[in-house]
Amino acid sequence: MNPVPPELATPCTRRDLLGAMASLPLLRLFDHPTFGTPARRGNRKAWILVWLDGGASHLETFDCKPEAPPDIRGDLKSIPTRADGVFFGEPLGRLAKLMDRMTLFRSITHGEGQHDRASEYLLTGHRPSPVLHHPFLGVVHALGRSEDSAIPAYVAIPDAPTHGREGFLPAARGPFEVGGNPGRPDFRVHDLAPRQRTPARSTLLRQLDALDGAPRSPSEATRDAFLAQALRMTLDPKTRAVFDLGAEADAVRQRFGRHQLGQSCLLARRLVQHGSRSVLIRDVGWDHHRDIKRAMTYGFPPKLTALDQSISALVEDLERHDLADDVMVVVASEFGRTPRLNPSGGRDHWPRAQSVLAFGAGLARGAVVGSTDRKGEAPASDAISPADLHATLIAALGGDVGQTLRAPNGRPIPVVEAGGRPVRGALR
Amino acid sequence: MLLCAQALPAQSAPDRADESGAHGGATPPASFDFRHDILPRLHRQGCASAYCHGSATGRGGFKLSLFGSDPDADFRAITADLGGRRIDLRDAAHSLLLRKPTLDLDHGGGRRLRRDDTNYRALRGWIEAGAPQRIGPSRQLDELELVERSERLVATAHFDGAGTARRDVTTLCSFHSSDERVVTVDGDGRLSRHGPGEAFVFARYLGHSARLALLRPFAEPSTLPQQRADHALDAVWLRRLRELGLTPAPPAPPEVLLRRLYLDLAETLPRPADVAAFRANPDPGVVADRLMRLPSFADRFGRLLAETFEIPSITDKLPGARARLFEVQRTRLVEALRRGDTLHAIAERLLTSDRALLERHEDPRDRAELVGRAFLGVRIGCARCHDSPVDRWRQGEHLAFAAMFASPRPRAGGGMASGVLFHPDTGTPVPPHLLPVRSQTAPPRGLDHAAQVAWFVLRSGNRMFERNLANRVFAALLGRGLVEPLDDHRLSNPATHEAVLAHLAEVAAGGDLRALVRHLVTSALYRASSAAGASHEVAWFARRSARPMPRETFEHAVSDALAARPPASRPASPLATQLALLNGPYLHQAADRSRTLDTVAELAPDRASLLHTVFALLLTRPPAEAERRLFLPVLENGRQGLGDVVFAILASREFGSIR
Repeated sequence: MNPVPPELATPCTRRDLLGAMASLPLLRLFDHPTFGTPARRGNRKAWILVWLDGGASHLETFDCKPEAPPDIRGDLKSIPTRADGVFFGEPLGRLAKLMDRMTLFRSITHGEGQHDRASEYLLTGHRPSPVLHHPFLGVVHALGRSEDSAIPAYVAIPDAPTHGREGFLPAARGPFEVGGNPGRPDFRVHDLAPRQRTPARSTLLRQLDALDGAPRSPSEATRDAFLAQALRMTLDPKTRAVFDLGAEADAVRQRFGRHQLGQSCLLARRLVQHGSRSVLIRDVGWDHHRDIKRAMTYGFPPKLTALDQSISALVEDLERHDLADDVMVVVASEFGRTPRLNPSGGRDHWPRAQSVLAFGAGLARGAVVGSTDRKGEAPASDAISPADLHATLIAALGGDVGQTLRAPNGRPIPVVEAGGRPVRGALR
Repeated sequence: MLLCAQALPAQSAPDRADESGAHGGATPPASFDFRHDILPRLHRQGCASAYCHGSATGRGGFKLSLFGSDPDADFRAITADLGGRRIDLRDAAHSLLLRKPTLDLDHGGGRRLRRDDTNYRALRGWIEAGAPQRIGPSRQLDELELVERSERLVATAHFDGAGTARRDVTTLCSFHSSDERVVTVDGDGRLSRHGPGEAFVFARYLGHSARLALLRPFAEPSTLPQQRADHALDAVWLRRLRELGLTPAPPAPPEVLLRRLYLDLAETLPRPADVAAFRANPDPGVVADRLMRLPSFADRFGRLLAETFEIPSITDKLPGARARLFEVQRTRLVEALRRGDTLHAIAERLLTSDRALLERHEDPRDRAELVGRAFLGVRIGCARCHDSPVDRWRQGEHLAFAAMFASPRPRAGGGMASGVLFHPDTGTPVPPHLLPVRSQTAPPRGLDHAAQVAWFVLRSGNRMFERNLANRVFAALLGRGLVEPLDDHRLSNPATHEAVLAHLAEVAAGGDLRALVRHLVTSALYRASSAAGASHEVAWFARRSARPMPRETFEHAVSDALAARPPASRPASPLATQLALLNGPYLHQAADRSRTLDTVAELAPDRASLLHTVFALLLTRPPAEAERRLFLPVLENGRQGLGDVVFAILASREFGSIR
């Protein structure tokens, strides 16, 4: 029997471990050689992207054409909003009333009619290229986080679309995907809750790692940083609680709506409150090639009703928490849809015109940017490219529009594609 | 040999003339070409880059071709477009071309020229001389030559066949350095040396590049001890390290080296008996020969080839039938390696008879780019849209190569005819052609397009395939390629040790993967220690660096040592990976439910020997004293305590690393 020093005789308590963990290194984003010019330090602004996957129709959501012939305006009724001449789909009543505080882009236009290519363009702000995949704007913005936080800088709920990722940046900059439906009563972030033996075993693990005298290579240091972050997320009850929607009052949860989109928005708000810089909520099922009115107004919950409830709740909630100037919300998808209904009563892909609804941070309140022609086919004024949109969002987030990143071959890559300029009318 | 007279701006000695302010003379020049004398001056200012006037739509209504790929259009854009208002022939200084970049007028690109600048004077002199496009015969630039003379770069352009006409174009070139910590170059080619190491300086002129290696050793080579090499690879490697003034790291200790070999070649951990045998006969070749006969060697390198050739895996989530098709292709790769097929035979099948991989893409251009990346290790994709500024490929060459991959069509009257690629701009058929790479042999006659491509890749003697494969295998065994990124071999992205890569490519020429792997793992380069050292030693492969195991290697090693089941899912991000290790069922079950561990625990006479066995099994070494003090008390908790210890080891930095 070997003599054992008392502090090693029993596995540490969790309290000991938390004390030890306070000194663990976290990822120092600025030390990474990826950045040509460093993102602005100390910028605490965050944003939440609600990605309507599949291509939401602009003519049923934020750019209704009540005066157009029936085969254009469709079967869904529209309602006026707090902004002159702007009509929303009938189920979007609460958002219509918020239109004096939100920002609406109606003249986004590009030429990519396939889901994959259009998603890449809208999410990265760069036209798809065969040689280089650009990072998602949320990844770029998350690079600017300089403070020490165990909450991942970029979180995707429940997961990220193909182009909502790190692109040419290192995999370590990619999303943390929560991997479940927050609308379910049994929602848990995958592998976040510690197993019964995890606290004791991870203590042993840290102690063993500490005894390892070999020099740490850069890739091992990266592993160490992620292990430290994982330990803090899983063992610190306060950090873990950020992901726990049960901590919110029932009335609040009810207001967001007890469905996937609503609870995802609530989770997103909790995350940006506690250190996330970018949250992507992926809401699927917006590819309405058939019977678009029915597809948008039936189901549990109906798509437009859920959108109205969740986004309006998120906006009001951010205002109540006095976060409106620090947190931006963007509702977007890859393209709009054909202005003329197809024979199945649906609408097909239409990249020439689409709408993006946004709110908060440096965006102008109540601004309506651009318009489409009578049929909603093409911009009638102020055509905005996805690159312009990105420049605007970066500016609204207090970022540097002229920032460059370094591609793996050393080439400096501007964050905003050539020609992209912030839309002045959309900024405060 | 002066070809230009003094009046026009860009002759071999004109810059000295310019510096003294002599421009705008009356003597007509004997030879002048806008393309050679004016356009490069705009390129040097960055005017024709993708972010300025070189963008697809130009900037501010002024469009130049990207990196000067279309000089005639550029000449028109400057002299004729906008009603010719960009230049003012009566008052040259009043030209938009000069007033905007000097910020005399608003310029979106900011200040690009100063009035006292030679480029300004050259442009002005050209306009004053009537802005001619060409005087004298048209000359073809053949080669750009770059030399260093007393800390200054001198670039010489050879026109119309080497030796007939040449000219100093130093002040017309754009320069850059591959490593600014070692050397920087200013616009006139003056060098500033900084830290030790090797850097390449590049000169670019009219779409031609030249490079020059500049080396400053880390230590005076003559002061270093002589190293003896009894391995052909080491002879090349050591010569190179000596040149760099670096001393090779000592070999890793036997148990570290053995663990490295087992994980690298067969994704398993050595058993105590293997360690004892290796201590008795420390010959990595004997161990490698045994490991390379294991099925797991073919699995591991089959996966490497599948990654190299970009064969999709199940995780790529392709639709059902196609996903299965590619699983079959992956399985065939593994079977081929088990049989001992050559790399060339395997590649030949993928290029000719088993074309599912190529036909995954509809567009012949995608197929051509895949062959470039996966088989030749070059990215020809840039040339799809523009002549590559950093590589040799031209847009037309890319298209002609893509035409080799057009799908065959049925021929009227039976049989199949070669496919045709129509030019995206003109709609005319593009004549198919292989990439213009010097080959050692002539193509055999009568081959169809697929067979011509296979000949070009595998038998033409250009060695691109062999260099690519050698670099891939090197990266799999050393953690990093001699060329990085792995699919980006080009003049402007030189290998860390060109001589080592060329040597390995010759070894790979026979196509015997096992011979190549054996050649590598028996070298001192592979055996070098990863113990503490300077980071530049790692960068130049004088010392190894520990690296985390690939995920598959980790799972295979755990499964093999503990008879554990692989995890049900693999998280995508590194953070989720760590969370899954801590809280997922995989590692906990491997530690708690392993029958192997049950047996080990039953057979061990006491806790100390149990710990000894566990360390030997998982870490290939005995526990250190501090580790004994950490773990022995835990083992008092019976099987659960053993699970705690094993979990901590499996999740540790050391277990997960190849050192």
